[in-house]
Amino acid sequence: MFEAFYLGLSTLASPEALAFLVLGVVLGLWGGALPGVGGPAQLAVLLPFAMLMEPVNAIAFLIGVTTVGNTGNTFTSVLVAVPGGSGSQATVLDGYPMARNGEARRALSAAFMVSMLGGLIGASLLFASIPVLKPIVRSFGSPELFLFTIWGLSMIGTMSAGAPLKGLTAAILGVLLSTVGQDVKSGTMRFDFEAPYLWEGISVVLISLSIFAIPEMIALAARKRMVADVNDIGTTGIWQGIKDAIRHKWLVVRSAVIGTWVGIMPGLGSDVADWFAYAHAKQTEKNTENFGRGDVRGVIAPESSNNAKEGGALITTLAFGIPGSTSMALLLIAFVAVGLTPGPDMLGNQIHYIFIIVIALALSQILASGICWAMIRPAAYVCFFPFYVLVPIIVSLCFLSAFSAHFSIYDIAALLVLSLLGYFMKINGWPRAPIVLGFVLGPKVELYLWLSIARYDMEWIWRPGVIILFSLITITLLFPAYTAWRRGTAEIGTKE
Amino acid sequence: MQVRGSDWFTVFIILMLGLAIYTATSWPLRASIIVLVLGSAGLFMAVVQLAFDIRARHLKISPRSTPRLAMELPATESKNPKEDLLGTLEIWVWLLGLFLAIYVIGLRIALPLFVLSYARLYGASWRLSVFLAALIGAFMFGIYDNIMHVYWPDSILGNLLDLND
Repeated sequence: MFEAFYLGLSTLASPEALAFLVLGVVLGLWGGALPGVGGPAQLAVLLPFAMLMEPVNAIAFLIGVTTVGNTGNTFTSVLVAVPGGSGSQATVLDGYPMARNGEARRALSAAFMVSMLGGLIGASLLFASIPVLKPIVRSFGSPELFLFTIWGLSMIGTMSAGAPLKGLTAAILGVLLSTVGQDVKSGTMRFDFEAPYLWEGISVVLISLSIFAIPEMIALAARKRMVADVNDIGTTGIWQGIKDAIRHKWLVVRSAVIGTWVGIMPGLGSDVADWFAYAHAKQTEKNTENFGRGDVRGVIAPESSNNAKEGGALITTLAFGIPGSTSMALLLIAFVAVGLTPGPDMLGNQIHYIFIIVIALALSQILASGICWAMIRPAAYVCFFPFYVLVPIIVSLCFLSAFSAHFSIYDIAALLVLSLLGYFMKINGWPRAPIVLGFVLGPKVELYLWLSIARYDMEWIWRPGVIILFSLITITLLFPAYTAWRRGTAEIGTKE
Repeated sequence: MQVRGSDWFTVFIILMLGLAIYTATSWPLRASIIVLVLGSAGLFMAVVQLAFDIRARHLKISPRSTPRLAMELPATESKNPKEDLLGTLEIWVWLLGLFLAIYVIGLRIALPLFVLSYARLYGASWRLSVFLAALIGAFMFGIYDNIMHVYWPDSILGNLLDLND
């Protein structure tokens, strides 16, 4: 084991491999910061080049590109409410209000600090878990994955404390939007209105842009002001952000563990890790009345989890050869092309490659956070740009990003139609985040429910994993009611 | 009974859910079950929400007693609602105009032109407006044309001048 670790470390320590790692990190950050450019699209473009490299250089380069996108896309989520990728949607909820309150630097600094810590925790768990993980993952069948996704949906009710009915209805709308297109189980075209464009369904990019980004740009254009509601950028934000991350260290750890676990689960998708962590923070932290108004813990939780999930996703990709996302599938193709054999073999004679990947992952996180920290000061000034600079640029990027979904003009038409929905939800007091969460979880809920019934009939409900997860869902649903009841009892006691 | 704009939006949601359920009834069960089950639950909750909202107004429950909406960005305080409404209509006209321009003259020309005209019209100097338009143009040319080799959507002008990809 130590020999393999030393071999991995010494192989990666070559100047050439490190240079490729740096190049990969820079490209990954750049792709993450520009909506619609990063993620699988960027990886697909770079893949042919990587396949021609030496294995260690290819690993360093691809790990750099793949695992830091969520650090880069924090900039747009916090500064202009445009989620740069599907893993940074929850960051908008508190990051953007912090930017409007003149705390953009604090939010970004805390986000980059916890991104690094979350990434390192994910890498450590990747390192530590491989020998023990196999039986746990194998015990997770479609019934457990179904309950896991239901757990995610049940969090909406508890998170929409001000309007639980609206939150749950919005989540159901999201699930129904996710059913648009061809149903893979029966071949039925659902809600396609005989338009071929809708056969492939609606892209999650379109949903997040139209529900968050365009309505916020409309509000900014209508106000004819800048993003920040204050005129002072402040001087202490960066250190304050670091202190915040240290003060909430246990939230960082818990969120990172959640992110790693979500990443490990094949098919659960990496889009939900940030939402799970946000919901966890809202449920378990004290004094949560400022969540959604610019509470730094609302930035810390999703940012810690969305970077940690990369370590988790790599666990299943490397140890079982099962990619949990499109990016991981592309990474798997590249690894095979350069001579690696992801799967159980990788734990045997190719174990030093796993150590190269773990070390490259850890170095990428440190490097990415360092580069982003250096960019905080100039980037924070975006909040003070006049609306006539930001609105046309962001709207153009949103249109381009939407067009990237299927490279069709109908993408832009769909963006405008869905933006109307997002805009009217915003002005009529409907929470918008549940619709995105419902959209992300909808296909998984449907698929795993169907697989469970097809494979086990109704016997699946008696599986031990299902019973444990069902208990967790019950606790999730009843915990807020219990705390409200306890608070009410305490208030009555005080009055008496 | 007072009915407000927000109630009409809830009615719109109810109609959408009702339409979704009605459409799904013609599909096989394996395709429709999730729409039927969740859609019905959503429809019920939306109706209850509408009843709550109208009843609360009827009983004159102060908006202050309503808990703050969670999972949502805080609303912007409007200092001049009339101007904000005008601004909202303006930006919607811009967005629809941009879509029309993309259809007529193509994405590659429409986006830089939109940036140039919007920035210039609302107060940016000519130099800044041209710089911003060039920035978007360069971004499209550099990333979408040269790296991603994107096929741009056909436009009416492109068809007339035989300039489409």
